Amino acid sequence: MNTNLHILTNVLIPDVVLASNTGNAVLLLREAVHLLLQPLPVELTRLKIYALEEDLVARGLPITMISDQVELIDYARFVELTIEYNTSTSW
Amino acid sequence: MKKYLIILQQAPFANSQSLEAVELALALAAFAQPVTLLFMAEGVLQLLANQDAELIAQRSFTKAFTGLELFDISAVYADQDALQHYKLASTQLSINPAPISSAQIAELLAKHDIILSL
Repeated sequence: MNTNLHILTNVLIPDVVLASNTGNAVLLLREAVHLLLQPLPVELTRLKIYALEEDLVARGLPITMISDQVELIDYARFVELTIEYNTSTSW
Repeated sequence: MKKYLIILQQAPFANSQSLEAVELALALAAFAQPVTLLFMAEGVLQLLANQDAELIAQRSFTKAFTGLELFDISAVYADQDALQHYKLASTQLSINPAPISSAQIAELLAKHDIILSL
């Protein structure tokens, strides 16, 4: 089964991402990091969640408040993820 | 004198509109025009303290909010529903805007001659 990295860049989460199966992942970039101010939708709890740390810090999001479910990453790890997952989709 | 209301609705650094809204407010205030600011929707995210836009190669224009009083801009409001939506507590914000309900926003709009929504 192919794995997909869903890349979100704003606070709107497409339904197809919410319906995504275990094994896929979500990467939060740019304005999408604001989603972390609220509890994430339950549908996302079964997915691995990554967020670009620079984008959080730039926007003043308190890193200490971020849930353990979320892995904060840098650009080097971002590149690795695009290789680890079979496909990447920017929404 | 005409009263200006500037509505800030964009997340910070998403595009140039939020920066332009701030520049517009400061320019109007510099010409002694009465300016009110209203943060709505994703615009409330501009109020988060400790931003560092240099990291993403942008200007940290939101730092200007702490100097608004120097420009005689003291009427600053934030949509309380939007603050609640993003679970923003007043302690997390760089300034203390007056929380305002949708009904109060309607009244605020009625009190201004020129309304600019950015």
